[in-house]
Order: sequence, then structure tokens, then C-alpha cells
Amino acid sequence: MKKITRELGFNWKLNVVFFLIISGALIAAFLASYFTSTTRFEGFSENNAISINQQIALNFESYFEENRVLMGLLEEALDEPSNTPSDIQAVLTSYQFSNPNIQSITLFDAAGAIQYNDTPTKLFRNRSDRTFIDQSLTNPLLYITTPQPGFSFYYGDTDDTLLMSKAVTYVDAGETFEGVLAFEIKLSALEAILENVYPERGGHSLLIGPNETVILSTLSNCEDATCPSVQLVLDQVIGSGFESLEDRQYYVSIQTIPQTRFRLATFMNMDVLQTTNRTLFLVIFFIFLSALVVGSVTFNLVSKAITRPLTKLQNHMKNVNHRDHLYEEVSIQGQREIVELSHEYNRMIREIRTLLKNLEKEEDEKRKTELIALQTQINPHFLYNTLDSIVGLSEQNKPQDVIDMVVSLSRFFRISISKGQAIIPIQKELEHAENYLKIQKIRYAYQFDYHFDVDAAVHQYTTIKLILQPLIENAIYHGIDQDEKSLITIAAQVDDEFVHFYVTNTGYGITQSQIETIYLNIHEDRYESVGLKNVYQRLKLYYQTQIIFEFYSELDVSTTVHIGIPKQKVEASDET
Amino acid sequence: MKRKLMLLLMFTLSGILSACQTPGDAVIPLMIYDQDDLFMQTFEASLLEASQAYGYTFDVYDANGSQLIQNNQFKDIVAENPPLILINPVDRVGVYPLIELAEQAGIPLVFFNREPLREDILSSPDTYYVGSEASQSARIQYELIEMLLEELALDVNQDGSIQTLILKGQPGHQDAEIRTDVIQTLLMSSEHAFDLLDVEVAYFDRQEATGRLLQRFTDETFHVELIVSNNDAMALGAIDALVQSGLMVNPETGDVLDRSAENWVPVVGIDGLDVAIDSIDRGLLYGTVFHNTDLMSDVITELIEALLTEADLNGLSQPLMDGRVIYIDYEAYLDD
Repeated sequence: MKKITRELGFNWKLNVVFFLIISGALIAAFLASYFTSTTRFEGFSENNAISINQQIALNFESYFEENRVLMGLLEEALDEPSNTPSDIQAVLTSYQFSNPNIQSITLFDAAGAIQYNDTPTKLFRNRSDRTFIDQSLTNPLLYITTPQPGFSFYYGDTDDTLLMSKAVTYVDAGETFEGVLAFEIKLSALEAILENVYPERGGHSLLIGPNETVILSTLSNCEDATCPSVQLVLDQVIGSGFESLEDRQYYVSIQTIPQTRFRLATFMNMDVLQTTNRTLFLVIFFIFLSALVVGSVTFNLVSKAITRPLTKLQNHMKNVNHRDHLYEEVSIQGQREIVELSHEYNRMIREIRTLLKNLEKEEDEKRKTELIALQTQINPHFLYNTLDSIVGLSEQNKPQDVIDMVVSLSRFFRISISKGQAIIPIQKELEHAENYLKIQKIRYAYQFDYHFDVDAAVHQYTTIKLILQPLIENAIYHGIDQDEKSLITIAAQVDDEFVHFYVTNTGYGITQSQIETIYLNIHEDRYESVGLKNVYQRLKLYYQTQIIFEFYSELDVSTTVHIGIPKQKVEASDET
Repeated sequence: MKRKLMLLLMFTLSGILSACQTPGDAVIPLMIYDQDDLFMQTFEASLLEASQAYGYTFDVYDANGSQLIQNNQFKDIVAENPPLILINPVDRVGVYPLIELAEQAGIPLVFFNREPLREDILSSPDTYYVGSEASQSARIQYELIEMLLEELALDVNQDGSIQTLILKGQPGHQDAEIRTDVIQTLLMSSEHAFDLLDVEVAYFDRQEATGRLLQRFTDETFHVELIVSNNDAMALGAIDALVQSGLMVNPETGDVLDRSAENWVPVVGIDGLDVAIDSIDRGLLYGTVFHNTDLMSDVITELIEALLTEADLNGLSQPLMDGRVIYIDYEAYLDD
């Protein structure tokens, strides 16, 4: 993990960190808001369901209360001592007429026989169940409400009704009787209450009386205990809570209606709650997801704006490894700090460039100094030897040789010095070699001959001075045969790349292993022959690696030293 | 650290020990229909006192006059499965679901002060009622009036009948209905001539009664010679109104008038509240029907103890009607 994070790019790291932080925060916020909302919504729905139930219960209560008040008023009217049968008839008719919710008003005597009703022409249905009469008479102070589904006192009355009855004392033609007053109250009004306040889909309400009678149901086919909703009410008796019925979630509230024997049960469909929760979940989820996406994209852009110049700078720095790009400056736009960084970088590059140039210059100076030192190394013993020879020739009285030798020596040194220049035209170098050969030929008493084989094309090029002389010196020392006269050949040619010099001497030649020893010694600073090594070092110093320096030998025939130097044209100022 | 641990341990131990101190100490839910009701306040205090004689305590619930609240409380209480529930119901007609719930849970149920329908009480084997017979209070109230008539004529305007106003409690309330009905019947069938002015509904409330009566006194022809109230609170409210209308008290001295004075109006209540007794002592309220809450509390707590210990109910100090119902007699209370 550590390794991965270490290897990740700056941009990626920023993005990952941002993503983790933001998604963490968003998930936390998401969960918090979702659960707060759903809990609140659940609480709200629960309160809503309870208050709906209470509202219906209150409506029912006031509905029954109204009827009780009405019945109380009628009871008082019936108790008037002055009542005649027509008074009683009139009061019943007017009460029924003025209250459209009351289907019928009937006055029974204590034996349960009908005495009066609101409309005498209505045909009374014989009723075998007289429980309400007995109940009313046993509890003279109570208003007894009896469900009577599918039944009514009179033929032609089709509405479903509820029976409300009370024991009364009535005065009829001066005589006081005990009796029972009965209202048939239309259920349609109660149904209206249920339907008006409970519109939710799948939600329903039940009005249940004692003895498990279903008085009202807003659910079709739900009239007895076979209906799960009714069964639930019978099991729960009263109370409220979440219940599951036939794969549906309901908030069920069962309450009694005060001063009646009825219970009201409301079933509020909580699938609505679940759907709402799901919708809520999706809505919140999408809001957060888009926030995450927008946030990440924006952040990625911002972080790229920061990291792009950095990457550019990084790539630029990588390229610096190639010498070609070393001095390139970088141009970066974007984040202020990084632009400043690039400016600093550029300043540093300029500094490095100056430093390197100085270094190169110093290096150059050093090389030149070394070169001069090496060039001057050659001269002393040759000069002594030559001067000794001149002295010898003078003693032998050979004036022509002395003259030749002194002239040659003079030219030799003129070229050697060359006004202090290290680089001279090849022609001068060849001249220098010839002067040397002349001197040596006289010194060695004409024991060898020499021959120049020069391609004219070489004259337009330059060389560092004094490279042929040490090779010739070497050829003379190692190539002179006491028995026969040897020949030293100096050849110069040009090809596409190089100017080639060949110094060949006839003689014994050397073996391949000797050649290898020479190479090794030249490279390793061990070789006694100061001359060869001196040449090699100067060539290396001046031309770096682009030189040829090799030996080849044919035993008992010849030995050749081959030097190749890069072609460098003579400039006009080089002419002497 | 160690000391803290020790302290903690000690607290825990003492908690456990105190919980163990009274093994089987039952907590009986006491459900009151409305703690704002003066009478119920007295009753509650007397019940709590009476319970001290036994090994159980009461946990009081107030329904605030709402059957809905009481239903929810009842459901919660049943879920906790107490050994017994003592309940003063809000709505006596609609309590049968509570009886059913208690029976399902096997919890004995003792009703008091408000009587459920007898059929509901008898529908379950473990339901009881302790209270008074509402009609008896009205009968005693009538006896008080008759006693007063022996002393005074009451017919101040001498029109041959006594102008009487009845103060009725909440319509539909058992006590209000029965007391009103019985006193009305007794007054009408009396050998004395009563002129029943009206039945004024004041919902058992003192201020309501004062307001209603003051409203009547705005009519200058209004003349009342006797006020019969369903309870003491309304009776005291009526006296407040009479005093404010310049009756009952000498406006100059502030002294309470003598009973024989023309401006002294007899008022009769029911319950025997402390404030009512005070009023009688001062000579304002003529009399009340004492609802003996102390005796009733003794009987209730005795019944509870018997039910908890499964003792023989026939050994109780008061006889059981139908094996379930105990009625406590009302007593007349007058200034001697």
C-alpha cells in the first residue's frame, strides 16, 4: 500500500485523497439526511395517522352527542304533562323532519309494543329482537346504540341504520308511562365522515360494535372476522402501531368512541411511506452522486491545472540529461508557485550554462598549457645531439653538411616554434619532418634514405604540430639496419573523414605481440618511449577520441605507424 | 481509581440490595381519569395513604379527561404485565375493550368511582368495582333539604312553592345523569311544592357554575330559593355568584348572614370536599353529601390486597354484590 501511494503521481494522489474525503463526507451526510428524513417522516406519518383517527373519533363522538342531545330534548318534550296523542305525534314528526340523518323515530311502550312513530302511514316490520328494549329499560340513564345491519323498522326504508334507544317517561292524555324512544340513524352520514377524512390509497376504516359486529367498513367485502382487518381489530382490541396485512404495511389505530360501545379502526397505508422513502433515497442518492461526480471532475481539473505545469517541468528536467537539451529554458503558464518555480529553474539552468562554459574554457586552457608543455618536451636532447653532430662535422671539415644541418635546424625550430601556435598547416608539418630527416640523415652518416609520398589534397588541412617528428625519430632508432641502407617513407592521404599519415621504415619489423605491448604501454603510461606516447597524448588531448593511432608490421620487411586526424581546413591567417 | 471503583461497587450493591429489600413489592398502576378534578385529588391522596398498610405501592397515571389517552396508557400498562390494575375510567360506557384486554393478559381489573355497565363487569371473571350508588347521593341530598324545611320555610316570596335550580354535571356522565334524575323525581313527588326553575349544566366545574349563575342574575326578575348541585365544586361556584350578587353576606360588615335572613340562599352539594366543609363551617354552604373517600380507599386497598394474595373475598369488611361490586354508603354532612 505504501509502495503504491509512493508510486502514484501527484495528480492521482490528490484525486484519490479528495475522492476519499469527499465521498466519506458525502456518505456520512447522505446517511444522516436519509435517516433523519425517514425517521421524521415516519414520525410525521404516525402522528398524522393518529390525528386522523382522533379526528374521525371526535367527529363520531360529536355525531353521537348530537343525537343524544336531540333525544334528550325529545325526552323532555314527551314528558310535558299537557301532552295529547296529537302533540306526541307532531313532535315526533317534526323532529324526524328537521333532522335528515334520522330515518325514523319510534316510541315503544314498556312491553316493546309500538305506540307512536314519525309517520303513522309507514308499515312497521315485525321485529323479534327486543334486546334494545330490555337494555334501555335496565339502564334507564343510558343511550343504547345497537347495530342493525341490513334491517330497518319500516318497509320501504332502504338505508343502513344504527339504532339508538333510551328509556323515557312520557305523558299521554294525562297519564304517565314508561317507554323506550328509538332513533334509526342513517349510516350514510358516518360513512361520509370516514370517506371525507381518509382518502389515502389502500387505507381504510372500520367501525366495530360490541360482539364483533362490523357496522361500517370502507373496504368492500370486509364485514366479518374473515376479513384480516376485522380480525386484527378483534385481536388488538385497542391501541395503535405498524401492522402488516396481506403484504401491505399499515399504521393501524384502534380507539373507542366515547360514550358509545363502538370502536373506530383506521388503517393508513404505509406503502406510501415506503415508496416515499424509496423516492427520497433515490433523490438524495442522485444529489450526492452528482455532487460527487461534479466535485471530482472539478477537483481533477483544478489539480490538473496545478500538476500539468509540474509534469511539464518534470519532463523538461528529464530531457536535460541529454546534453542537447541542457540549455533549453522551460516556459510554463498556470499556477503562480509553479511558474515561479520554473523561473527559478530557468535561472538555475542559465547559471549552470555559465558555469559549464567557464569550465570548458578552463578545460581548454588547461589542455593548451599541457599541449605546449608536451611540445616543448621534445626539443632539448635533439638540440644537444644536433649541436654535437654539427661540432663533429666541423671537426671532420664537412662544411656543406654543417651548412645543410644548420639551415635545417633553423627551419626545424622555426616551425617548432611557429609563433607559439599549436596548430599548423600540414605542409609545415611535412616540412618540419623533412628538416628533421635531413638533420638525422647527416647525423647518421647517410645510413638511411627517406621518401615523401604526399597527396596534394592534404595541404589544405591543418594538424597539431610536431607529430611526425617523434614517429620518424622512432623509425630511425628502431628501423636502421647496420647491414643495409634502410628507407623511411612518410605518406599523407585524405579520405572522407580523416587525414592519414603513414610513417614506414624497412627493417626487421615487430611481432603482433610487441605491437599489443606498445598499445598497452601507450594507454597505460608505462612506455619508455616518451616520443610515441607524447604524440598519442597530444592527439588525444586535442582531437579527443576521433583519432587513429595504430601500428602494423611485416616481419623482416617493414613497420608502419598510422595516424589519422580529423580534417581541419587551413584558415588564411595560418599562412606563414 | 480504586476508590472510585469501590464506590461504584457499593452503589451497585446498595441498589441491588434496596431492590431486594421488599421482595414481591408490587407496583399497582393507578389510572385516574383527570388529576385536575378536585374530588379525584382528594381520592388519590387517600388511596396513597391507605396503601401504606399493605406491601404494594401505586404508580399514578393521569388521563387528562381523555379516553384516548387512557386507552393508550392502558395498552402500555398491560404490556408491562402488572399484577393488577386499579382504574377510574374516563368513559364508563366504552371500557369493555379494556376489560377484554385485561382478561386476555390475565390481569385483575378493579374499577372505582365510575361504574362500568354491569354486563361488562360480569363479562370477565376478574373485574371488580368499588364505588357508590349514585342514586343514594341524591336521596341523601333530598333528606338534607327536608331537614332544612323543618327549620325554615324557604318560600321567601311566599308564592306557595320553592323556586329551585339544579346544577348538573357533564351530560352523559353517570353521576350527573343519575343525581339529576333522582333529585328531580324526588322534588317533584315531594309533599312540599318545588318550582323547578331549570337544570343548569355547569360540567362539575366551580367557575362554570359561577358564570352561569351570574348570567342568570343579570335578569332582575330572577329569584331562587334553593340550589341543588350535583357536586360540591359547582355548589361553591354558585355561592361565589350569590356573594357577588350581594346575597349570603352582609355587604357592609362582610359577615355571613344568618340562615333565617331573607338573602341567605340554601345551597346543597355532594362529595364532602375539604373546601366544602370549610364553607359549611362558615355558614355559607348549607350541607353536603359526604362521599367517604377514606372509607372507600380502605375498601379498595383491602380488595387489592385480597386479590394479590388470592384471599377469600367473602372475608372482606364490605359485602360484594354479584361477587364483584362493592357500594360504599354516602353520609349526610351538616353544620351541627
